[in-house]
Amino acid sequence: MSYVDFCLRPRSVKDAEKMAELIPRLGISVVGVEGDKGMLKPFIDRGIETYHRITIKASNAGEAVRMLREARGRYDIVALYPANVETARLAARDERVDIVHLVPAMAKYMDRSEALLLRMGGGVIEVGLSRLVRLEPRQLRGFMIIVRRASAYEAPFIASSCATTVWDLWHPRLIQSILVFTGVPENLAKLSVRGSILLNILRTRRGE
Amino acid sequence: MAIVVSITTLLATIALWAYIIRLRKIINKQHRLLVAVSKRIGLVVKAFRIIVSTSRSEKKLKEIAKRPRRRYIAFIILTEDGRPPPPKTIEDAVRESLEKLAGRVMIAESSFALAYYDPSRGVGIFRATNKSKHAVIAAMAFVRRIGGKRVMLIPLRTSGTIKRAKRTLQQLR
Repeated sequence: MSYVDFCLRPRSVKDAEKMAELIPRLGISVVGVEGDKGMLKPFIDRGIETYHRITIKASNAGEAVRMLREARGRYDIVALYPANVETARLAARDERVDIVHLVPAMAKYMDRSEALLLRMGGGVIEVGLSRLVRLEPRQLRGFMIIVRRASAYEAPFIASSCATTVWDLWHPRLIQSILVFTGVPENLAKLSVRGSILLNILRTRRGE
Repeated sequence: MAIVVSITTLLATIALWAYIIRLRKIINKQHRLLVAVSKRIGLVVKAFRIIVSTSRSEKKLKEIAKRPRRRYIAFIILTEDGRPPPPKTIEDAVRESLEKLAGRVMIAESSFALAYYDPSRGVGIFRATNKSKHAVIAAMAFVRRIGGKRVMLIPLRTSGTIKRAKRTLQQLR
């Protein structure tokens, strides 16, 4: 079984081509790509299991519901970037949301209630790694809180690179080690980079 | 008279024979019991030996677990221009990243070093301990630039011997 990266944001088709070239070398076989359909082509051409993804940035719950209604059926993966705790709760509970994308500053949203609502909605928590590159203590602390709480409350979580260029990609083994180093049990860290929970949902939806 | 004597002798013989048979049965039964008991004692002794050896091996395992063991992390380096940087630069970059991430105490405890490096292929092996291997691999993740050039360190395999780590690098095309 190989690794997944459900958050790739290539800036151009050229970037997408370079990423698609490197991704199999990193052991990644499933990707979620944001952007227009043309961005997906280089990945599909190389035999990588590719899912079209959208990240909805909603400032309030009402706007989130409206945007989710519009996005329904048009994308394989719907991720929601909550601007406040109300939107985070809605995202966790709503069945249309596959991923609740959290950044280190949103550590306070990850609590027991969020984990319980996630179980109802069937989504997963996603932590973006792009903000960690500078190794700022505040960012690192936020990241640690999210992943530790997610593992403690048994909420499924994944860690994605959210790479815009080929140099922003993270090798899954590196992500796994970061998770273990920050206090996540080794088996859960492995599960999070394999993304098997979300992958099962997506494959079932595709009818595989 | 002779007939009476002979019949008495026969009856006595039969009685003696019956007694002998009963005695033999009792002896056999006792023998079987003794064998069974000795077998049980043997099992008990065996179990006791296993318990003793297990506790000894558990103690030994605990001792081994406490002792830091070396780990060799085979890696490959990808650079923007395709030319791998010199070994000293890579080691310093990862050391600096490890210091930022886990502190100087971790560097001292991990006995971190670049054990092997092939600049022509851009592959190498980092040395760490079993307790610090995740910290070292995590530190590798935060090395994004070396000497102004964009780089990516990809861990290939962690092994207990440098020989096996080198074999992993040899198998790499």
